[in-house]
Amino acid sequence: MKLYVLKRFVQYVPVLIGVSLIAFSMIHLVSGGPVRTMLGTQATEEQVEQVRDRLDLNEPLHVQYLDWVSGVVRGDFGESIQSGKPVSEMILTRLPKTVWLAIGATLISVLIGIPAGIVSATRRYSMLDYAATGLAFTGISIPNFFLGILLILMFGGYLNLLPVSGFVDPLKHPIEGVKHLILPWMTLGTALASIVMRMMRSSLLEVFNEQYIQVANAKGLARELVTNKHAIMNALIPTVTIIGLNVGYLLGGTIVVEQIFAISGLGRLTLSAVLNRDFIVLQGVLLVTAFIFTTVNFATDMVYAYLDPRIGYE
Amino acid sequence: MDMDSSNDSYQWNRRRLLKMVGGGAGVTALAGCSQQEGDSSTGTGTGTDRSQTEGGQAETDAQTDSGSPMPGGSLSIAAPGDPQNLDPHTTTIDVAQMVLDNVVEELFELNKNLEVEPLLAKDYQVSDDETTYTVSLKEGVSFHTGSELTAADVKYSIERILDPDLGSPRAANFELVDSIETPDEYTVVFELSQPFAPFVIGLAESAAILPEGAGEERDLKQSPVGTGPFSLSNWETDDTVVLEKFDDYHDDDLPYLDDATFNVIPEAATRQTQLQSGSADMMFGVPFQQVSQIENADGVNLQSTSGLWKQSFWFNTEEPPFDDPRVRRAVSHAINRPQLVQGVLFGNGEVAHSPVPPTSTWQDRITDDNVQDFSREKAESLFEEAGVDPASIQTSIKASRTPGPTYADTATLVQSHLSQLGMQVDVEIMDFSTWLQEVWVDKNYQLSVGSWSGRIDPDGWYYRQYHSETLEHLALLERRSRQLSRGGPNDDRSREAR
Repeated sequence: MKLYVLKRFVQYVPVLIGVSLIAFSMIHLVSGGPVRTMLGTQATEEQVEQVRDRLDLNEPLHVQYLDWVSGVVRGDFGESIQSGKPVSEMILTRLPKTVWLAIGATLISVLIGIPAGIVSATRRYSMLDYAATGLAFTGISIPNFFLGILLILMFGGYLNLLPVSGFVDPLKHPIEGVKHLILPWMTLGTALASIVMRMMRSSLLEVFNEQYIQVANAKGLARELVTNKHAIMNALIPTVTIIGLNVGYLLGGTIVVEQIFAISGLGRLTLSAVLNRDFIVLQGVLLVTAFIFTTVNFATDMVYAYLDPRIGYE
Repeated sequence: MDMDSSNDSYQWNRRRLLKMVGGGAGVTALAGCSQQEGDSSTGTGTGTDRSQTEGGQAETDAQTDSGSPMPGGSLSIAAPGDPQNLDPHTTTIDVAQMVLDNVVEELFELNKNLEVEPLLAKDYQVSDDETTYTVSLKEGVSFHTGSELTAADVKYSIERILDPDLGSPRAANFELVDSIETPDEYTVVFELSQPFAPFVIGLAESAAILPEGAGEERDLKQSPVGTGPFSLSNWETDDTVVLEKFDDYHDDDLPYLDDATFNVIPEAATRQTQLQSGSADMMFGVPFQQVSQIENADGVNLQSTSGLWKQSFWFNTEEPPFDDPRVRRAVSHAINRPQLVQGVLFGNGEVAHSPVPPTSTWQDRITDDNVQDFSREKAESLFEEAGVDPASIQTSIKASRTPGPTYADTATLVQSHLSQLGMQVDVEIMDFSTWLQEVWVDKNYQLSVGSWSGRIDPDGWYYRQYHSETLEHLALLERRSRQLSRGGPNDDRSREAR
């Protein structure tokens, strides 16, 4: 087991190098540069060149990349071209906000999605099933920018019940913090709950067709017992995979939701880095995101072993 | 001012507008709101600000409101973007300017009628040959750092703007400055290499006075410092900017507010909800299509003023068939400008017929000869004269989706106008950074939509846009044509005329 964990960590290295290389080359392939964007239309080409020189942006690309990598290895992610702030500091102040968003949205998706999936699968073709699948279909189809604005108009504008923008740290101000997060959680959670619900439903239905379930039914076990004890655990494996992917996606930046609800998380940092061509920031964010995503997938693999004792990692 | 590189999804009043509304825009405007802070339950105090062509804010409230302002109170402002860079000498971001208008001050300011008034200066004299400007400073003005404003600070600030290493976009305003002398603590003498009438306007528009050495001692991008009525107390990127009252402000009565918070809220619908639910006292960046709705909303007071921002349609005159002026004029007559004002600005603007916008007192006289009216007949006859069949023209309009939707919307409408003549026009929408590179730097375009939020003085429009020396970095004209310098670059009469 220990060896396996170690192996997995070693595998991180090529993944992260790949991600950083792709991020670095992509931003340089796109037209437009950080300095011109920063200085605007009135600066002369001369001024742009001077600033580029000062920021070492006129060095050959591989030199710039290696400079950056050698910094990262020593824990220095560099400084933003636009603001001059250390990138690591920028990421650290933003990551917690996105983590809060991701945790809440994942909880909502699990708390709604899994029970709804189970209900749907065990009462297949009933009104409840139709209602649940119908809702899930709607949940997946509504784009979250639209749902977010509807929720804002409803709860923020019309009912005036909840704050619609900003982030308050729930660790410092639990009530205010959660109040600020409810609408973003609902916006993100709806689509994710729908995805989880559909996955849970279909994988449970698949398990129900397995022979060992038929055996259990044939020997007269109670329906609830068959479902709860024998079916759910096995059906959870694909569902957990989906949840893991969701978490990765959420942590990678919930750009739209952060934008609508004015939460300055990792998503908005990514967006402004792209628009400003601030590739030092972008590389840092993508590297951290890739790290988190890989770690979450790793954790998901570990959960498999718990769900199905036959799965072992040696 | 140029197109700002703010990434906000809505265009809003160009930065100088705030200045225009009062150099101490912050002071008076924020002060005005403070009085209403007390009765914000009735909601009368909420001012909103319209975008680009408009721009005034709660200012008029301050003046028309009965009752005298009371000190104290906090103001919460919903702003559409992050300031990104708060160095007053280098920033090109709208929101930054909005914040900085309360933090830093210039020697002069522009009043509501765009006239220059002294701010940190007491008065100034111009020599008979108009090349020496002697400015005497107000005494007893303190910086947020505690030090007193002296001539050395002024010298330092202007020299910092001119420092090529800084790359300040404001440097062009002062390129004719030969030397800056400080004969005594409160006198600054600017020697210009030639007469330059807009010099004082340049000092008013964009020359924030910083304490000597500030650029070396601190990171001004992060922590600006000046003599303004408020100092920066906290800034969390993409989140909030908090200003607090500066107790030693040189106008003893101001500011009224204790503090003001800019909350960065990129989504307009969210800002609007904040405003209407009372969580925000003030909102900037009202999308054009929402203007009438906000105007009619309960408890919201929409303020708008005409601005100097102007949107232009650009031809690359090196690219055939647009190298023929008759073709360009034909296209110009094919564009239905009143429809653009309605369709893109939702009626919140006017048709411009001259390089200087209608709001400026220096607008060119509009005559039958120069008015670009919408006329299919004129367009068709000009095409005929040029021997170009419009149906044979295949071209594209490059436009940016940011910082505001107006460029892309204009491009789309113009596309439909031109296709009525049979032209085949594509619209290429890109992000601002790409647009800057392709259109502005590489000149890789045929048609484009851009803007210019000009200067108070027409020099800011004509010199920057049409003089041969500046063509190098302007996309408007071909580099070879040098229209204003018929006798070659040394015969730039426009330059001498100033």
